[in-house]
This record gives sequence, structure tokens and C-alpha cells, in this order.
Amino acid sequence: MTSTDATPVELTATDLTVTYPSKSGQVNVLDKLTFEVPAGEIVSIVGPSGAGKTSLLRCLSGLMLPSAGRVEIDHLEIKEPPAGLGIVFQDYGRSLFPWMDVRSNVELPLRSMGISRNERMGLVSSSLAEVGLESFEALYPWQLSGGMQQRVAIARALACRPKVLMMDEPFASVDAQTRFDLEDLVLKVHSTHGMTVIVVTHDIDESIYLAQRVVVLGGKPSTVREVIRVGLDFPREQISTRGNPEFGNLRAQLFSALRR
Amino acid sequence: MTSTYIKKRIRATTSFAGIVIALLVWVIAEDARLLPRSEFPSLSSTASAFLAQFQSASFVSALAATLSTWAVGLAVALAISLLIGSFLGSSARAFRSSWLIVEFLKPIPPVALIPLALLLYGTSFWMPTGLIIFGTVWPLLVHVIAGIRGVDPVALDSSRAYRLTRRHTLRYLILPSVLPSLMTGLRIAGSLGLAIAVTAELIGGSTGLGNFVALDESASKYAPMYAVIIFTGLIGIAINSLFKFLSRKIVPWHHERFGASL
Amino acid sequence: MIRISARIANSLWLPALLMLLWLVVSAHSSSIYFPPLTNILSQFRKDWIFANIGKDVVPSVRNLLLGFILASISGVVLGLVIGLLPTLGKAVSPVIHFLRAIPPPILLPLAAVLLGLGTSMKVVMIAFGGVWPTLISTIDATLSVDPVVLDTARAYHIPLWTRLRRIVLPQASPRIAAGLRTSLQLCIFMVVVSEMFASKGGLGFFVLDAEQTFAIKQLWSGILMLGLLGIVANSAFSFFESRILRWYFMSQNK
Ligand SMILES: Nc1ncnc2c1ncn2[C@@H]1O[C@H](COP(=O)(O)OP(=O)(O)OP(=O)(O)O)[C@@H](O)[C@H]1O
Ligand SMILES: [Mg+2]
Repeated sequence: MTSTDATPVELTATDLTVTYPSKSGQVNVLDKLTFEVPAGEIVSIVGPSGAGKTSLLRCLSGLMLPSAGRVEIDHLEIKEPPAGLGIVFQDYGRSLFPWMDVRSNVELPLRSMGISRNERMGLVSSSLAEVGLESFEALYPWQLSGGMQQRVAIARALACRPKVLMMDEPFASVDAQTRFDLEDLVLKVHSTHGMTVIVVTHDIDESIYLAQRVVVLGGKPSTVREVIRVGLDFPREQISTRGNPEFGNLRAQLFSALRR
Repeated sequence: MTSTYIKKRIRATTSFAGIVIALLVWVIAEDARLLPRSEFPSLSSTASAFLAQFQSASFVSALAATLSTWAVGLAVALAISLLIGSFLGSSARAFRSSWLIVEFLKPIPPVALIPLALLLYGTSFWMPTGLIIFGTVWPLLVHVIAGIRGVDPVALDSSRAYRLTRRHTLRYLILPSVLPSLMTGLRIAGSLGLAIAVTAELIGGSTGLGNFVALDESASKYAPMYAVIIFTGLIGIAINSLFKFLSRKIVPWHHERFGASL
Repeated sequence: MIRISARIANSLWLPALLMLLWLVVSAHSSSIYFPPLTNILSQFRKDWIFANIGKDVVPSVRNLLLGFILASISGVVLGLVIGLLPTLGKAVSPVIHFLRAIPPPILLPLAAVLLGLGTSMKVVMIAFGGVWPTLISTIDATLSVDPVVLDTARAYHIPLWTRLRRIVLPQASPRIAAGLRTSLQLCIFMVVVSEMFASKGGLGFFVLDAEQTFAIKQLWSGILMLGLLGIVANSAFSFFESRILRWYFMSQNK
């Protein structure tokens, strides 16, 4: 951990429930979810499409109030996005502002935080370098490929030196090779900065590879099926970690939890 | 690079040929006496009338009157629609409550109010200007509301998650999202406003190009009448090009991203 | 059921409130320009049920229909021709842009000189004023029909008429419809202006005459009638649009 990094935070969700209005009254999407995310850990949340993963993340980040239950960060209930949040949206392309170049996109949150110009320059450059985009800072988001836009979104999150980093299916729409690279990027970022990380995904292998703990969602409405600890060593490596017999066991365990 | 350059050249040449042919048709028609000379003046007499207008004080003041009512009317309508539109666009409830009113008032032809405006303001500055405000506020309002409602919800989530200040959200998210739609609205409102100005002058008799043409006609001065009509067309083109240019300057990302012809 | 009526209440309360406000505020109005709403409404009944319908409404509606039909047909036909012959398009585009940029009412004195003051002049001017949005959107829509589809059709020797009817028109129709809607607005605009300019009948004449004879209640009832005409014309257009586009939609799905 470098000296400028913020101390990581602990997140807890208690009886978190989300219902949406629908034509025939109310539809319950998440039902009494309770789990915790220890400070400094990487936790992945896995569930099938439509399980309410995005809704859950919007509650955890304070973008949306749950219909019932509560979300706490370091034992303080959150009702709006907290300071020290870094977030990468499922529609990362739409989360970047097309009228601003890459550098300005990454810089804007820092300006709102009131950080001085010199410090901003340093933060923006170092986080763009971390995701390997230092030579693209003058381009516009729509001039970049999907995977590159994704990395801009990650750089924007990193520049804020977040206490907690949340990502919603961050690698769902990139090719396999880029996906592996980005997964390793997340692990590297975590080992450098030590923040709490929450990754939402529908990919079982990815949820294991990235995390120290997997929260499995399932059912209609979704409930927490199981919380599985992942004991695989760090640093992880695509071929050897995935080849580890323990990885296979965890995968089987997750499969059956999802099937149940 | 070169091929687009060549294409542009070909395009310009063809367009130029079109103009030349149109003018030739005019000359041939007048030579062959297809048209009554008195009511259809020759190209040369129209052209000299065109140049003569600029020396006439009454023409210059008519031009100034038309342009100033147009600009003031459009500016006021823009201010009103930004004010009301940003309120109606940002609150779903306000929008629901008021869209019927907008839908009812929008189709009322603004020129129907010329008599009322004449009663209230006579032939003063505010007669045409008031009509322009009433007429152009609808396209502007509709486009402001559409622009605000069209702000990307994911982008809005980002601005909230990263705790952008109100000023930054407005400056870097809302404004840039609304501008493309607003520029479209302005272009529509610009030519509508000119049409309303000319009509108010023509029917209501306030000073301006519309009135100028009406006076020329009743005095059977056809060459100057043609000249002023052509001049008004050129103003229309200038207004269109002005907004096209502004749009390219103000919302370049929109043009580059979507190749919008606007 | 409850939800639907709640929605109706949601969108109606403000218009209803404003009408009520107008009614109440104007009730004891002594301003000559803003007579009580009740007086305007009773004048409206006197004027339009059905005394002046034949003299003023019928000519306006007839001119609107004729002008709009003329504008639609010439706009679509010319637009298709120009859109399918790009070289012609480039040659005529400066002329089109020039003619379109002239505010049409300023041509009324010229039209009066050339065509007289009769119905035909009005119809021509209404069509001229309204044709541009239809023409431009038809050209744009025709140009944006997928060139691969057109090439395929040509390769299989599909005759021009079939190509137009089965390929170009269905793909272009939504945008043509949008152009037609704007054209309709401009045609209504021109109906009113053409009747205000040296005319002896029609709604435009009615309101201007009311102003000149200082008949304030007639003026308001005429404005109300013109507003009504605008709203009815727009609703009728929406009705036909949904019909016609549905026909296209189903024919494409067949
Ligand atoms: N604003 C909303 N209003 C009504 N229903 C919604 C809303 N947002 C989501 N839903 C519904 O809630 C359910 C869960 O949506 P959500 O986007 O959270 O799922 P998800 O797990 O993220 O899916 P995916 O894997 O496809 O991203 C879906 O059935 C969706 O239709
Ligand atoms: Mg989702």
C-alpha cells in the first residue's frame, strides 16, 4: 500500500430488500439480503442475469435507497454515494462523458473534490499509466475500443484513491484475452492500493479468480444462497490458479449453490 | 483526404452549375417574352435594384427593424424556454401536469394572434417581437425538455457516485447533453421567427422587410420588390448557416460522433 | 382502472385549473382587450354554431386540404426523384436551399401580382410555404436507404416501380411522415396569412376584420376557432399517420 491510499472500509448489508413497481402491483427483486464485505477484501457477487445484481450495487453505492433494510459503511448507514467511492458501471461507455477527452473525464471527480491542480495532474497521469492508457489521454471516449473505455472508467475510479471500488459486470462485453488482462489489472490494483473491492459478475470462474469471498445470489426473488470463502493464494495467475484442483472444487460448489 | 477534396470540388461545381442554369432560365424566359415584362422584371434591372437598395435609407432601416425584432424575440423565447424547460424537463410530475397545455398551445398558428398583437401594441416594436416570442417558444421548449429528459441515466449515476458538485454537473453533464437538441430547436425557431417577423410586417404594417415589399407591390415597383425578396432569402440562408456554424462550434462531439448533418 | 384515472387526473389538473383561473379572473374584467371568458364563449357559439361556418371555416379548411395535398404530393414525388438521382440533387440543392430560406409570406405580394387574389393563388402559396420539410425529409430518407439493398434490387432486375413501392417507400415512410407533420404546421400558418392578405373570407380574414372593426369578442372567438383548427388538423394527422404506418409495418412483416 502506498502512503496516499485511503484506509479501506467495511461494508454490511442487512435485510436488504428491493421492490419495483410493475403493471400488476409490486415485483420483489431482492429479498432480505444480509452479508458483509470485510475491509480490504475483494468480494465478488455472482448471480444469473436479471437476479438484481445491478440493483444491489446501486443500493451498496448509495445511488438508490433499498425498499427495506440498510447498508452500512464502517457502521454508518449510507443514504447517498459516500466520499471515497470508486465505481465502474455495467454500461461503462455511457458513464463516460463523450464531450470530454480521456484526461478530463478522469480529472472531473477530482476537481469536484477540490484537489489542487498540481495534485490532480499527478493523480490522473499515474492512474492512466496504471491501466496502460497514458498515451491516449487526449482522445475522446468514443474514439476508443470497448476494453479501452473500460480501462478509462477504472482509471477514473483509481484516481479518486477510493476506499471502496465497486464494479458491475466490468468485463462482460470484451474479448477473452482482454478480459484476462483486465482481471489481472484489478488484482494488481488491489494489491497496490489495498482498497475494499466489490465485483459483480455472472461468470462463476471470474468470481472465484478475483475474489477472497463469493456471495451467491439465486431464486425469485433473489436471496443470498451461500457465501463461499476462496482460499487460493495471491498473487494469482491465469493458468496456474485456474488449473489448481482447489479452483475446480470451488467451481463445483458454486455451481450447485446456483442450481439449488 | 484527396478523394473527399475532389468530391467536395465536384459537389461545388455541380451546385454552381445549378445556380447558373437557374439564372439562364430567367434570362431566356425574359428574352423569349414568356413572361410579362412589367410584372416580371429582367435579371439586370433586378440586379441593379438589388444594389440600389443599399443606398436607400428606408431599406436599411427596414432591414435593421426586421433583424432586431428577430434577434430580441428569439433571445427572449430562448430565455423563457430554458427557464420553463429546465423545470419541466427535470421533474416528471411537472412534465405530466403540463404536457397537455403545451400540446394544445403548440398547434395554434402564431399568426392568428397578429390582430390581438396589433390591438395591444399597435405597430410598435413589441407587436412583431411578441408574436415571435409566442411562436418560437414552442419548438424551443419542446427541444429543451427533450434534451433534459434525454440526459443519459448512467452518466447521471456517475455524476452522483463521484459526488460532482452541482456546478460541475450542470456545466459538464446537463448542459452538454442538452445543447445538440437545443441547437436543433434554435435552427427551427430561427427560420420560423423570420417568417413571423416578415408576416407581422406585411399584415400589420410595422416597419420591416415584409412591409417594404408590400409597399413596393402597391406602388407597382416590381424590380425593387424582387430584389428585397431575394435579399430576404439570402438572410434566411445566412441565418441557417449561422446556426449550422454555431452548432459545429458548440457541439463538435455530436457531429463527429454521429456525423450529424443537422 | 384506478391507475388509469389517476393518470388522467395527473395530466388534467393543471389545464383544468388554468381554465378555471381564466374564467374567474376574467369574470369581472373591464379591460376592453380581455373580455370575460363567458362572453367569449357565448360569442363563439353565436359565430360558429353555425352562422359563419360556410363563409369562414369552409374556405379555410378547403384551402388547407388542397394546399397540404399539393405540398405533400409534390414534396414526396420531387423528393424521391431528387433522392434517386444524386447528381440532379447536387445541381438543384442551392436553388432548393434558397427557395426554402425565403420566408414564404413575403412572396404573397409577388403571388398576387402573378396569380391574382383568388383561391388558386392561396392554394399555391400554402403549398409553397409547406412543401420544404416534406421535400427535404423525403430526399434525406431516400438517400439513406441502404445502398446494398438498392444494388441487390438492381442486380435482380426488380423494376423501378416495385423498387420504389417495396423498398424505398417503406423504409423512408417514418421520416417522410415526420416531414409531413412539420409541413402541415407551415400550411396552417400560410392559410391564415394568405387570408389576412387581401382577402374577403376565411378565418384569417375573420380575425383581422374583427380587429379592424374593434370587435374584440369576435376577435377572441376567431382566435379560439383557429386554435381549434390547428389542434384538430394535428390530431387528424396523428390518426392517419398511425393508420398508414401500421399498414406499412404489417406489409413489411408479411
Ligand atoms: N428502475 C427499474 N424499474 C423497474 N424494474 C426494474 C428497474 N431496474 C431493474 N428492474 C427489474 O429488476 C430486475 C433486476 O434487474 P437488474 O438490472 O438489477 O438485474 P441484473 O442482475 O443486473 O441483470 P443483468 O445481469 O442482466 O445485468 C429485472 O427484472 C429488471 O427488470
Ligand atoms: Mg446488471
